Amino acid sequence: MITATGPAPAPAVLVKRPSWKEADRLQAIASYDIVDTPREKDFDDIARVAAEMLKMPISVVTFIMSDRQWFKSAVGLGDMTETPRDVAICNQAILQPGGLVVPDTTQDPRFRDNPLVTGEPHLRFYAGALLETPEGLPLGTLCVLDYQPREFTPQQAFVLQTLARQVMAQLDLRRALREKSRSEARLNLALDASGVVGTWDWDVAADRVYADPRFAALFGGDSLWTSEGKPVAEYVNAIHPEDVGRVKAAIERGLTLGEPFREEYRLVQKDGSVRWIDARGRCQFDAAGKPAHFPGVAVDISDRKISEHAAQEAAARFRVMADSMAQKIFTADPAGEVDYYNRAWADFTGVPLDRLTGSGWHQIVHPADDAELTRRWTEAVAQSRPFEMELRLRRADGSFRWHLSRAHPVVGADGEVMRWIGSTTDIDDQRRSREQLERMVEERTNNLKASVEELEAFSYSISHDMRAPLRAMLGFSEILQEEYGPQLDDQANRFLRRIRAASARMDHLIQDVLNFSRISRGELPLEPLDPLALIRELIECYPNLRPSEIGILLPPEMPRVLANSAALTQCVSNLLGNAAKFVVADTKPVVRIWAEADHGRVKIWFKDNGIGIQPEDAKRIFEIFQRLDRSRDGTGIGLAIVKKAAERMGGRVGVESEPGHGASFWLDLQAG
Amino acid sequence: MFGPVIYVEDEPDDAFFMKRAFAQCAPDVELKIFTDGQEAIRFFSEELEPQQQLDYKSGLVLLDLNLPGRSGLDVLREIRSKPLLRQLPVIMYTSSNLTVDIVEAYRRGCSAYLVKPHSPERLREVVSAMSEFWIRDNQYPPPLAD
Repeated sequence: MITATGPAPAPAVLVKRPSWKEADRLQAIASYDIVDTPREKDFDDIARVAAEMLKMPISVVTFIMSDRQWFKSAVGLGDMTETPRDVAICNQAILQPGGLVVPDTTQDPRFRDNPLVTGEPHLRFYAGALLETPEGLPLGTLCVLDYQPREFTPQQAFVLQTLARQVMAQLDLRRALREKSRSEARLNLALDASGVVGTWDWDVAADRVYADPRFAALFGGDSLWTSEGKPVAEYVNAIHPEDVGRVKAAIERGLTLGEPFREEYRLVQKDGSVRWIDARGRCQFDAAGKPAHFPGVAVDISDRKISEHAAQEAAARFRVMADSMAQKIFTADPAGEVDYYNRAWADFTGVPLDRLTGSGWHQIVHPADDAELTRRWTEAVAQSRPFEMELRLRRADGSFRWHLSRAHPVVGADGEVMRWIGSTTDIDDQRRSREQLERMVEERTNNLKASVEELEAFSYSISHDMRAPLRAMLGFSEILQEEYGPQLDDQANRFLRRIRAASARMDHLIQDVLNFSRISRGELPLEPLDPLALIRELIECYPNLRPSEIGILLPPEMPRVLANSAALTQCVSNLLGNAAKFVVADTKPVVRIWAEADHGRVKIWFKDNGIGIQPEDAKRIFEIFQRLDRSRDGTGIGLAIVKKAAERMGGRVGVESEPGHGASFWLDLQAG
Repeated sequence: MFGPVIYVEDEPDDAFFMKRAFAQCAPDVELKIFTDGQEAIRFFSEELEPQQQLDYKSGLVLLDLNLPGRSGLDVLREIRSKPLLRQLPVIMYTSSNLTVDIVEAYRRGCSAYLVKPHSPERLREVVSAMSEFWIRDNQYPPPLAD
């Protein structure tokens, strides 16, 4: 309330402190965004009404800023729009709750020295009502002034205060409008930025669709569509021919039944491209139940549709591809639950596909494979490792066929398994033929073994049986020579000797064949033994290895070898026998023997001073019946026996030689 | 008196060589030749009276392995099955030097195993040794008088 105060100043009032803070007050002024705006009729009207009704020459709508007062509207002040704050009488008024009335400024110590009082325009009367926010912050005043002292009645105070509230109402309205348009602007900005949402309002009676620019643009409309509106048919025309019938029906249901409108449809753009729209609206009816407005919102869902479509197409392509394959295809979720079988499964098993998914596969797996399949599949899924198994699946006719089933995990960008893709191939025929082949191979191997054994037995027995008549030939020719030699001439004796020599050679040959076959066939248990002791014993037993016949140089000791005593004896005797045999004419054979141990092997060397071997013959000499030198005795079996014996003991035999410099045979055996 | 040497041999040539060797090296020893195992077994089972069997301990048997009908090993078993002939020296005389044959022969109780030598000269050496060791020296003392 503005209270008329007496002419005497009230010092107590002067020092009263306001209940608000100046900073809040200034911020409140700023929030109305009014200062320094152009004059407005609404405010001018209020100022004029105040001047007229209160019969004052001056009326002002003023805001007290930090350093000045600014007039939004002023009557009777000419072009003046502001004054410094310190000369403003209102500056005092805002400190008074309700306002301030100064009947005579010259009588008031606060104002009598004010330049506006002492000089132009010589103000003498002041009455100001506060422009106060709901929070109680005084922004300024609506004040009236006169050039002469006056009385101010309570009725006049009421008028002034009412008009001040009208000023505030104007301010509040403007601020509210501004905020609304700001938030709309923000919304539009957001909608523009997203580019996907548009709104419309269809005035059904007038058949005008008022759309926002975004909605209009989706339908190929320009700004005229927005401002003037267009008949709904113009919009419907832009809808894809395949969708338009459906959309029209939905609109019809919305108009007649009041059903909410919700449709996804395609719009054909000017450039021929297609955009997908998700539009939702609802018809609003007037009091008479007639359709009045049909507003709604539309969202451009093209991107989503495109990816949806791509996914669907990929899935469809996969299915078509999978269904066209003879192979059985399946997919499973990350937990290993089978969620898809291609058509080949139904074709093969005769079981409808929907009865196979989940755990339905148990019914087609052979009972003997079921547990193993479950175990392996569970393991593969748990470890995200590829799965593979051969198993039997039941065909529609009840028979079981072997299949090779494989599955691989499909791993996403995060390294997690997204799903499993598996293929199962009928390998029954291959497996059968493989098994048959294995059986055949086994059978033939057995047959071959039997033949070889038969052959060996045969060769043994034939060799054995051949020795009896041979013994007779040898014996009789010897007796003949013994008893009748003196009665025969030289020629006859020579022939007899040749019969005996031939028979002896034959016997030797048979014996070697027997040895070879024995070395090849019998058990050869290996034991660690000292080769040096074995060689020494051998030299003592064999007359042709006596020191008078051959020089044998032995090392003081040799590493032990893992060998069969009989077989090693055979090897050494054959090698030494050869050294004694293949000598340069008129030379006493000399053999040096030594051994080298290396990485669990022992190599025994036999270096002779004989005729040596051509490099190209070095391999051939170990083959059976290979005789390089027909002029010398021999069966061509000796080295074959050595090779066979060495191999049967897990060893090897070889030779290094230069013709004319003797030969170095070696036996490579396991260390004992 | 040295009991006769029984030689079981189907090969006439070998029999001939043996006869000749005995004639040359041990002319005082009687050599009885059977050409098959059956014959030899019949001799030991039927022709020899128990007293003869006892006397026969002083003899010697040479057995070829590969014989028509009953093999040398069969004959050996037959001999060893008679308590009175259990101690009789039986020498396997064969061309086989297979370990299996040798082992099996000793397992069945042969006294020695000889591989047939190649030449008559070597055979004479064998026969001399045999007559020295098996026929003359290695004899049991006569049975004690009651």
